[in-house]
Amino acid sequence: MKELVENIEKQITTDKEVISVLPRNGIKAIKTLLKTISETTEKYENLNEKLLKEIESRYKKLTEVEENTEIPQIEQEILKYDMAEKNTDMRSSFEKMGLDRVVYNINGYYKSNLERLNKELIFSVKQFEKVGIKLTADDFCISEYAKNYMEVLLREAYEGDINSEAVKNQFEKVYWQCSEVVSHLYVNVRYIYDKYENQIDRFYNEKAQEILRNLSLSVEGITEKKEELIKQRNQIEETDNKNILDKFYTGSLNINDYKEDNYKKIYLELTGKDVTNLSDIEKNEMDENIDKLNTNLTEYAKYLEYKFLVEQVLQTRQELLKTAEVNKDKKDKKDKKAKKTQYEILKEQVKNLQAEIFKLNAKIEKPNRGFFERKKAEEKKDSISILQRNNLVLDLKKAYMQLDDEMINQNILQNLDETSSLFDVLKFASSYYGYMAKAMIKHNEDITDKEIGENAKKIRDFINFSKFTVINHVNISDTKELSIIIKDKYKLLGMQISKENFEDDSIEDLIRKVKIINTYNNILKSKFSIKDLEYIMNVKEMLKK
Amino acid sequence: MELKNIKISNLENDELLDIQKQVESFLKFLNGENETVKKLEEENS
Repeated sequence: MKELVENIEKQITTDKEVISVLPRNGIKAIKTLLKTISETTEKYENLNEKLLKEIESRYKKLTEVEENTEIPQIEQEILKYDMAEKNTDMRSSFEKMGLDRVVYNINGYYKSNLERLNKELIFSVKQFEKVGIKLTADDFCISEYAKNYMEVLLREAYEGDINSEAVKNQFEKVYWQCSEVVSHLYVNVRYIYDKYENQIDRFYNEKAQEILRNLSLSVEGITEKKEELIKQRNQIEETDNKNILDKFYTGSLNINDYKEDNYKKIYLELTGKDVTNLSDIEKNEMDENIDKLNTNLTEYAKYLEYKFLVEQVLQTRQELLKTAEVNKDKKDKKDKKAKKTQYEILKEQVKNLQAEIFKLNAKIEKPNRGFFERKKAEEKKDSISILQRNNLVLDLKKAYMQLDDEMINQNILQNLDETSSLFDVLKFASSYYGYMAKAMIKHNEDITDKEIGENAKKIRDFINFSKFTVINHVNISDTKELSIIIKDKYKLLGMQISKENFEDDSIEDLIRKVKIINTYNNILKSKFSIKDLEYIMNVKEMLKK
Repeated sequence: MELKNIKISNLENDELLDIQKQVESFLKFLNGENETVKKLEEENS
């Protein structure tokens, strides 16, 4: 159509010249000129209107892409298997109920946010209800403060407003009676779990059996099925028309990166090959390698964000192994008797503290004082008992926190060994909210509670909704750096990547370039050509004006 | 060449955009010229 374009261009030039050369001296000449300008303007306005209409119509036609119905279906399936996985995996019922997050937050939120504290308390009540335990204020019996607060909170929650004035007033009231009321609530949630632990475990065991029976799969089978679905979804999304278009619309892809010259340049840089000289077979093979490298690099980049968690677990494991070795030597030399583990000692301590608290509570609550005003001596006795009980509640809180640390230590030693993969370690760390939160604070001491919550979700989503291809194959005993492992593999496949590409200031550039090539190849598998997308983005910009 | 007879449906996408830009720019030129000449008309009347 070059000829038509040239003709129009020529016509414009001619019309411009006519206007420019027409005489402008004298009123008659001016009037003629004005008439010519007006006629020409009308002609070109008509043409412009036609052009704009055509532009818009083509834009509409090109951008008419239907939502892929397969993607939400697969998403649903992924969620189904994810839920099945979460109900059958090795985590304890405490983590399955999400109480690890609740207790961490109850412990921390009261300093900053009463609303969030209330939300977590009600969440815990709901979680207990889900496993068949209907809680009332009477279950919050660690102290009168916990009970009195929960009485109002549960009543208001039933009315639909957990942050009502009544709740705020009640908090104010109990807080001035006991400023450690939030510690009491923390201890109480943990006590309720301890009390019903066997029942809850039974609930999850039965649920797990039912899920496995219904799906006719093993625990590993569920994970495999989920991974397969994730892979399938990712593949569809990569070439999905709407997905591609949305990425350009939202700015996550930039059309300027996808100019042919840029593609050719980056292709040459990454593969050492001129893409125009490659045979179809060579091109397909290289594109497959680029696709795999892209997947590996995306996973690697995400892993780098959370590497500090893996390092934290591995450091703790090294320290524990060292201590265990020293203790083993001592034990071998001194006594042969099997000693209780620190975990068992702490468990016992928790039980004893609970018993002591309830013994004191019984004394405080004894209703044998008649209807008359109590004597001052009895009141004093009560106050002493309350003081003792309150101190014990704080001791119990401390014991629970030590127990958590000890439980993690024990699980690190029991569940992780030299054959564990980096993925196993990351998954392990992500299973314990409190552990993750502490590691995040150690990594960045300015992090807020909100950011901890958001990051924890991101990490868990990464673990639960990715199809891993790298970190699940690399053992913690591997001495080679992960970047070198990836680099070596693709070097063997003819890619021009070096150790330098993986350095801090270059890795982003490598990821970006590999992504451009891979996305370019995927675009060509969609309904769009690069030219279509260029057109769409140009018109979109035009329409904005 | 008669502008009204141009078959714009025969233009490629990029050509269509290019031509529209040129037309728009020419319309701006015409608008400018119109104003200039009108001023001339005022001065001469």
